[in-house]
Amino acid sequence: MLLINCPWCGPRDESEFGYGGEADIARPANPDALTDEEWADYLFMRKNPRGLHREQWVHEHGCRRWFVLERDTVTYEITDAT
Amino acid sequence: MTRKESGNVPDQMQRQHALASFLNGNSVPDSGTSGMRLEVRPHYGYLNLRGDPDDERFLQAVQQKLGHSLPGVPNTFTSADHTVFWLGPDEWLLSTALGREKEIAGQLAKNLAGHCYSLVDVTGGQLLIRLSGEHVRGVLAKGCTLDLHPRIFKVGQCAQTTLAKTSMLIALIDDTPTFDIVLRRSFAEYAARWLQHSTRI
Repeated sequence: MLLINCPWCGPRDESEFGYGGEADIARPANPDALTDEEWADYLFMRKNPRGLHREQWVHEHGCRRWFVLERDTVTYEITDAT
Repeated sequence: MTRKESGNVPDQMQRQHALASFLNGNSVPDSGTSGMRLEVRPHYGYLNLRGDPDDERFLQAVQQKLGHSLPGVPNTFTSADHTVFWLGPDEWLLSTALGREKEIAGQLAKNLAGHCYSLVDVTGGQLLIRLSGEHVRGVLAKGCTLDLHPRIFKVGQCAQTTLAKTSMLIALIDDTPTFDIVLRRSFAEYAARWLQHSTRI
């Protein structure tokens, strides 16, 4: 079980949070101009790295805010919460 | 399709709290046997208020009506005429005597005209249970992941967290200790049964 540091509420148990996948994925400004491959890349393709991973979490049983943190996918260590 | 008014409808529907039938015929924990007393306190109205905490005019407009400021420190509550719990950086829960929430909502809406805000009467969806006694922390620890040790969780603090398989808003009222927990109405009986079960050794 992870202990996650919510930027508002402080350290809370993982069971209070929801996971939102990889962070920093920006919706293309003009989707009509994209090829099918580019659109599929935006929709489906994720980095899935071994090591540091920036990801979105929501404190759903607490303050219900979304935030981004960096987690090591090998050791589960959370290195940075913003 | 239309429905005919029945001549026997009472003028006012009787309000019954979510645990009325559960408490009738069920033994509830008390300080004599378990070191924990459970008291249902249904006599509150609730308003959910959202607005920009950086907008001085918004804060002043609210303070003008409530007589005290909204708690700005995360996970704290303030008590005067009403109790205001911090729920999020732009969200608060106001509890007041049952029946007063409509008047307060009306006046707040008047004060906040022109501001960007949200004000929702959530009275029907909440139930407050007061837990007190020396073993409360031990009972809650069975189903709450929060550290409620007096060094960590102090009087005046509140938190939204989980209790067993439901969520709650918990606040420490005094060092008896006395905790107030605000539950979703539809989960109140589940939580009460869980509490009842958890007081057994």
